[in-house]
Order: sequence, then structure tokens, then C-alpha cells
Amino acid sequence: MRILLVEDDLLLGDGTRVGLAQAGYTVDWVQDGRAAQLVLETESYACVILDLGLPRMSGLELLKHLRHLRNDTPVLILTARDTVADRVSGLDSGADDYLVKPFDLDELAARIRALLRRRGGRTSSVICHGEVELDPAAHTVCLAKQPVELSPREFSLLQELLENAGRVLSRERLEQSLYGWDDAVESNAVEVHIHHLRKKLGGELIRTIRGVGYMVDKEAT
Amino acid sequence: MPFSLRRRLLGLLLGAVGTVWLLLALSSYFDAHHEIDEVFDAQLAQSAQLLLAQATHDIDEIDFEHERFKHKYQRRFIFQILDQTGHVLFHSAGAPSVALTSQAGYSDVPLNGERWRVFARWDADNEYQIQVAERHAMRSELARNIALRMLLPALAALPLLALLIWLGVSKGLSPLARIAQDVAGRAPQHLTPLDTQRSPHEILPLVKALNELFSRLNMALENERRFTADAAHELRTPLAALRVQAQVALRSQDDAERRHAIEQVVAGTDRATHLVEQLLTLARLDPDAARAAHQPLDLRAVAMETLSLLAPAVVAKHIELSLTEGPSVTVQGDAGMLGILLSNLVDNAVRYTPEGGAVTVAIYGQNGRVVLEVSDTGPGIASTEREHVLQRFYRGTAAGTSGSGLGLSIVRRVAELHDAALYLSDGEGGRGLRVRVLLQQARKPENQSQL
Repeated sequence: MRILLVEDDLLLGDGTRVGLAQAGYTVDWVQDGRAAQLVLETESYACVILDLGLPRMSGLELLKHLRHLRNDTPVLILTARDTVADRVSGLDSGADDYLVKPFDLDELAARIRALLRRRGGRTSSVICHGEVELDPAAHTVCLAKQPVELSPREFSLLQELLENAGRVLSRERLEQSLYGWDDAVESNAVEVHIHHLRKKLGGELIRTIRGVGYMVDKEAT
Repeated sequence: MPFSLRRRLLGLLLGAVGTVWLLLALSSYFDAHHEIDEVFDAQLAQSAQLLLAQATHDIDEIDFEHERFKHKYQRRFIFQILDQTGHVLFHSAGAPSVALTSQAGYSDVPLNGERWRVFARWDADNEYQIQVAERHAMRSELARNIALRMLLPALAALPLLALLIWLGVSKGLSPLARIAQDVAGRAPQHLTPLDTQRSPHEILPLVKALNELFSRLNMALENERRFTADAAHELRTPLAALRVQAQVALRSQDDAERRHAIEQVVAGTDRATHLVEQLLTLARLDPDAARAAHQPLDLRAVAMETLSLLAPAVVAKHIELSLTEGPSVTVQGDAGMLGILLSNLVDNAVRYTPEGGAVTVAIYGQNGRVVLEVSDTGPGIASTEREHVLQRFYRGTAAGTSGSGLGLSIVRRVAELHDAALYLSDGEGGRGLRVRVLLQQARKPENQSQL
């Protein structure tokens, strides 16, 4: 899961980035509104964590701009402003959630999971697909009720595929969700991770669409 | 010493009315006296003629003294009849046996300690002269009575007038009472202006002054409120950073990561401390206390002391810090506050100046003022943004610095307290930022050396 963190405070940005990385997210961090706008125009993120008091372009402006462009990436506002009016204007500008500083890293992670879950149209936090069960909060995967050991990257890849079940995801898209700007991407990393996933979870789960990408079938409901 | 406006007005009005009435009475006294003189003189002449006519026939038969009906204004006069030599041939009772006057016509003559009005005339043949006299006092008494008759009812009406004035003044002062009630009934935060429409002209200046005071108070209160709110908000971010970094350190498995997070906690604590110190500095810049402490001081000495404190930290950042050479300059101000101003300016410059850059402080006189100038070789501030940077908690667009956002607000505040102008411009050759503070020279002429 790749998340964009927009925060101008160096200490807070650094801590949040590391904290979210510990929770298994890939985090890109920008420090002003204009930079965030540029990044959001070219790359896609599972979620944006947005500070409001930003240099060059305020968080609210950025949010309105984003929604104006019909970009529906979930946005969580992270701010020191805590009045009801502030919250209302934040949510009305298109934010999906609102968290007031200082906050707890666990709560931030839980709210991000909730945002991603809702975006996937699910009500339960655990994603089930056939015999595979993925719990984003506990960071565990079970196959036929038996726990399966996955590396963080494999876990992220599986989550991305399961959350987008029924859609073909290109190799580039998957790469983006796995690696932040600072990470070196190995040329065939996605193939390697898919290979490992198939070995651990069976070859049937992930299908290769040649020349396009990978997908997990949508479950018949 | 408080006094009653009502009592004062009552006294003034009664005094004025009384004085006018007295003047009127006095004037009517003199007026009446004059008229009475005219009439009485005419009658005196008439009486003289009558007496003379009679006297030439039968003087003995005249009896003036024993008239049966006497009126209080009945005129009692005396007379003498003289021959050509001035010898008194005959005189009425009470008249002296020597001639009253040697003058013909009207004259005033003293007799028995009183003033008498005498009229003397000759008969047609110049054979006898008659002198008729009456007391002046009678005329004065008559005039006095006329004047008093006028004055007495007015004096009797004075208490009534006083009552009416008292009521009228009360009525007239009611807008004042209303405003006092309005102000007294206010809660401390209720600072809406008083209604100027319903205030009379006379107290409009007072109402306007009050309204101005209210609006100034309101602004000060609003500032205070905003400052507290801003300060609380500004503290949230460093606190959030501390919490997050601490949590990261707690759950990290990796030693290097944990160490980094703990270092960040320490740095964050320093930053929060700095922010609190800056907030306190700003809060302590109390205008009244500050101005009282102003005195002539050597700005160069202040600058040298401040820079020597800052230098180690600046040098550690590989930034060159210098104070340009020049004569000592005396300004009017507070050494402690000017030190705070300079250290904030330098701190700010150093914060935004990259390694290998330079921060230069200069002090010089210009157009009768003293300029304290700090220039750096940092990114500068766009002209569109210069207004904003002086506001509280505003951080420049150059992201990645960790100032409190209060430095330049403190500079502005100190400048205001010194009646100093503050200018931001491009640095040398359009690079960096140059901040100039135009200070007042010391007032004592012997202290303004070399300027």
C-alpha cells in the first residue's frame, strides 16, 4: 500500500513516515502543498495523509483541487485545528477522515485501514477470498485457517490484488504500490513476489494476463 | 475631587439670574430717580411760583404746616422769601433765617446734615426772591421703593426658579445617566460601541472617545485570544512529533531506527522548548513597561554582545557571521529587547542560509536615524510574501526549516515598541534577504557621536 504523506513539519513527517513503514505501508513524503499537487497529478496512492497548514498551497486548497479533478483518493486530514467548524470545513472540502494532533500512531494506522476498507466496498476489515484470509490490521494471512508467513512486500502485493479483485493490475501499478521514491526497484521484483505468493498460496489465486498484468478473480457472491 | 454637575449648574444659573435681576433693579432705581427728580423739580418750581404769587399778596395767611390729611408721599418743603439785599423777610417753619442759597435756579444745599434741593426765583419785578427746598432723601426713598417693588416678587420667585432649574438640569443630564448605566451594565467582554445617534452633541466627544477605547480594547482582547489559540495550536505539532517519534522508537526492532527516533525526540523537545521560550518572550513584551525602560545605549556594544553569544552555533553551521566596522552609535531603547531583536534576526538569517553562506550585521546612520541591518545569502523572501512573514506562526515557503514562526513577529513587536520602522528587501545583488530596522537616535545631543 502506497501512501502520500503531506506534512511540512520535519520531525512529525519523519516520525509518521517511519511509523507507517513499520505498519507495512510504503510512504512518500512531501513537505508543501504545491509538491503534493504535482505528485498527485502523476502518481496514484491508496491514501493521502494531509496536513492543513502547508507552505505554498494550503491543505484545504489542495484537497478542493484534487476533488475538482475527480480524484477520489481517500484523504485523511491531520491537523492541529480542532474546532467543529474546522472539522466540518475539512470534511466538506472532500476529506474522508479527520485526525487532530497530537495523535496515536495505532489510531492513524487503524483509520487508514478503515479508509482503504471502505474504498474496497468491504464492511469487515478481514479480506476473504476463497480459502485465503488477509487481515490488514494484524498483518496476517491464512490459507484454509492455517497461518502463512509472507514478507512485507508479498503481503502488500497480495492486499493490493485482493482489494482490486476482478481488475487487472499492471506491473507498473503494482511496482508503484510496493516501492516509494527512495526504494530501489529490482527489474523483475513483481514477478519474483508473485512467484513466491503462488508457491505459498497455490497457483490458482493469481492469474497472469499476458502483456497486461495480474489479477485475482472476483468472487461470485 | 468629584463635584455635582447639577449643583454647579444650579448655582451658576441662579447666580446669573440673580445678578441680572439686581442689575435691572439698580437700573430701574436710577431711572426712577431721574424721572422723579424731573417731576419733583418741576413741581418745586411750580410751588415756588405759586408761593411767590401768594406771598406778594398775603404771606401770613399761608399755612403749610397744619394740613389735615397727610399722605406718605406728601411733600414737605420749606421756603424763604428774601428781599433784593438777600435778607430773609420771611421763612416757613423749619427753614433757616439765612438764605439757603445765593444761586438762582436749582441747587443742592446741605442743611442740618441732610441734602436739600433748592429752587430760587425772583418775582416779575425782581423785588422778592423765593427759595423753596425739599429733602433729597424723599426722592431717593421713592425711587428705592419703586425698584424694590420690582425686585421683591422676583426674589420671592427664586426658590421656584431653583426647583425648575433643578428638574430641568436633571432632565438635561439624563442622556449622561443613560450612557453611564449602559457602560456600568456591561460585561467585561461586551465592547460594542455606544449609540452615537442618541447622544447629545455636548457629550458626543466623550462617547466617541469611549467607543474608540472600546474598539482598541476589543482589538487587544481579540489579539490576546487569537494569540492563545494560535500558541496552543502551534504547540500541538511539536507534541504530535514527539509522540510519534516516541512510538516509533518503542516499537522499532531496528537499533539504528530506534536511535534515530530517540534523537528526533530530543530534537523535538528542544524545538518545543524554543517555541515556548519565544512565546514567553512575545508575551513579555509589555508596551508600558518597555517604554519606561528606554534610555540612550550604545547599539554597537549591544550588537557585539549578542553576536558573541550566537557566534559558536553559527560557526558550527559553517556560516560566516560578521559585524561591519564603524563608529559607536547611540540609540534610544532597551538593551535587552534590542538584543532579542538582533538575535532573532540573526537566528532567522542563519536558519535559512545554507552552509558556506554569510550573515552580515551592519550599523550605520542614515537621514538622522540609526539603521540596524542584517543580510544573509539565503533564498530570500519573495516580495509577495514579505507581508506575511511578519505575522505570527507564519513559516516561509522554503520548506524544511524548523523555526517557531515567531522570530519575525518578535522582531516586529520590539521594533514597534521602539517606534522603529522595519524593512525587508533583497540582499546584496538581489540575493538573500536584507532586514533593516530604522531606530531613533538618542535624544541627548552630546550622545549622538559621529552621526
